[in-house]
Amino acid sequence: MNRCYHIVNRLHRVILILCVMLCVTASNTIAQGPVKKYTVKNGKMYIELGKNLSSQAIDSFIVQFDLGELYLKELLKRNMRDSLEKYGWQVEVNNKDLFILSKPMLGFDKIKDPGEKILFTENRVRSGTLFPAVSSRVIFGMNRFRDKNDFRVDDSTVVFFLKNNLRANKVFLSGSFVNWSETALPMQKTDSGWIASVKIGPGKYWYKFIIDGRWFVDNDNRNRENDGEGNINSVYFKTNYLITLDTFVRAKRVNVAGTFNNWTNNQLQMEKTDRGWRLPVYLGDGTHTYRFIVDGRWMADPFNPDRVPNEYNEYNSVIRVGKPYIIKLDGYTQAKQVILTGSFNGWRRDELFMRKTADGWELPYHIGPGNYEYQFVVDGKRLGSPHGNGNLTFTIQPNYTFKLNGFANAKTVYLAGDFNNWSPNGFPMEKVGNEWVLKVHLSPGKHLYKFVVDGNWIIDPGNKLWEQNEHGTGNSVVWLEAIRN
Amino acid sequence: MVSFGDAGGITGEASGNSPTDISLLTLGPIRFSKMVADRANLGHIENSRGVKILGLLGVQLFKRFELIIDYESSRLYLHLISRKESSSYQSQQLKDPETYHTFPINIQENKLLTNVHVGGKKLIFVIDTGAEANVLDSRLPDRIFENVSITRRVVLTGSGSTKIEALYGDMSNMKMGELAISSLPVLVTNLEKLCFTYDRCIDGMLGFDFLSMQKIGFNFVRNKMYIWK
Repeated sequence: MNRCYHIVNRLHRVILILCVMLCVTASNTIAQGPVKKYTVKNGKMYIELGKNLSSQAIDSFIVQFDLGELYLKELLKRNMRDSLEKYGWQVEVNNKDLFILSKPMLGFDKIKDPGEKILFTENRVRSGTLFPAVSSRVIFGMNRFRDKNDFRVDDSTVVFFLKNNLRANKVFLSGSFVNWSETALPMQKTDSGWIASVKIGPGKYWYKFIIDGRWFVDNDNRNRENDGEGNINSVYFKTNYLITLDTFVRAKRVNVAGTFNNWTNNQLQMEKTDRGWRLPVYLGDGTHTYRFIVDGRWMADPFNPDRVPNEYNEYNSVIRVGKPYIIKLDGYTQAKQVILTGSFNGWRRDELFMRKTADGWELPYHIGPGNYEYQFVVDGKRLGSPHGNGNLTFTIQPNYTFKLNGFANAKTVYLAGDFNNWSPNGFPMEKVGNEWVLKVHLSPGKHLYKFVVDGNWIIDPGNKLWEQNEHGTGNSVVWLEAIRN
Repeated sequence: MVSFGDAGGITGEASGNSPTDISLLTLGPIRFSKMVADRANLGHIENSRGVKILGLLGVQLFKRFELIIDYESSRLYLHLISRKESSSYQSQQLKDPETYHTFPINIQENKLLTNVHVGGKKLIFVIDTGAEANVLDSRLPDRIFENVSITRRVVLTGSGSTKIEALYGDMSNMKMGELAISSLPVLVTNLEKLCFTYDRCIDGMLGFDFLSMQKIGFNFVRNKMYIWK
């Protein structure tokens, strides 16, 4: 019995020694090199972060996984966990070498609903979904070719290229630029495929190849779009701007973010060159502000002198496309400072400082088609319209007239829709005879709107097309046919 | 829009939408009479896609068909398989078996299922053109996730205000029959809600991104799927 106890006791010691050895081995393994991992185990997400990571490596991890809200640097430096816990993360391991954090993965409750499932599983990597076609004019685009280079461009001529298919007898290029004619653009055979030259200006174009009578999308082009009638077309952007950063050749990753992609930090990765980084893009008319993110670190463009102040007491760089409009304020010649603020710049009051002239103030500003509200800030005091919500409005390139019949006795009628951020009293309609009218700019695609008659929201009684909204009160729907360039 | 997999607009699934009768539905020369369909607000898909969508066609409609989808030429080939030709009919496009792969499928609770192998382990995937991304269940064993490299985290929103975190990653070492898929982009989320009414769950979805890479076809009578090489 004693002997038996002795053996068991020795066995315990052996197990204990084994355990200690295993722990030492594990700790040695962990100590090797800085760890930064995002994994899934047991239905949970895990983040492993080595405590010896460089600040840049942490920044780059935060950008890649969009973890800004967790304040991971505060956790690593000061063991502060407030933000982590707020967002449902738990610290599983905290030793001298690393943190391991975990959070259970939840599912999407409505995934059984076919419509919800389509939305939920949308591929958010595509540029098409980054810049949705509906209710937003095209302000940004870039090409995404797979196994071939971007089409060759000489000034305004783009050489469309179809790889291989050398056995085909006849190949045509068709697209929005020839109004989808099936025969206008025959392609020439080369030793590696087929080419056709097309003169087009900067913008977004849709195209397909017709190979021996059959229509094909461009397999090497990842930009594709449904035309709303069940056909998938390839999309080509004739770019008009090359974003460059001729430095940081040793950086691992450089992204650009700006007003054109809602400042999303990890969408637009630049291509490496011998001198630095580049990204050819299409930018619509207007004023675009942007910054670079070099291995996780945000910065203004060091080579672009055109910049405006931002909320971090730093600067955003500026690209201006199209023609400037002069925005004027007459009078107020005694004022010291006049700032322009509006829906076109997110109502920032720290960005657009107007210039004094002999009889007032003015600012040349590049602005694209759309419906805008604005105010002046004169020496800190807001100056707008005495009516409605107090904002002034203007429309650039009006192309659609809304009309409301009846309501002849109404005192005020406003138009509110997705095209003016549902402003309830920003866009007054004008009474002409018995009807109320307002001309606005609508981008191609679907738009939702309502009229606000003496404060009451109504759907358009003259439009049969409407859909339900989250309040159960409905919105009128208008589709503007795509203007194919 | 054709949506295989879940109810896809045709009743038979508890999707919470009220059913309505359709006396006649025609699809080219094909006529379906006395159909029952779920009513759903598809406005949010229109808003997200910029495409007019008035309905979704579900897998139930095609139970007696051979269906070939040629994305490149934007064509859908449908053949109604009569009882006589149940075991014999095959499209001329399937004449040369060297040009395509064949996989067994089966339909359960209106879901179109096939088996795949990841790292040697068998998984059940739904074939669903209505899902754009491929999806992987986050509750799968660690052995599966050893083959998944997580690349991004996203916060997703449905038509309401519900927000949910999900991950994008690349899955390696996957096989479908003899077809080896070296890297498949996947959206990782918890698929508990997609479990069957009996004790079985699906492990993932093969979505439009994968299924639209080449011509695909289905014979719903003989339970076969074809993927062109």
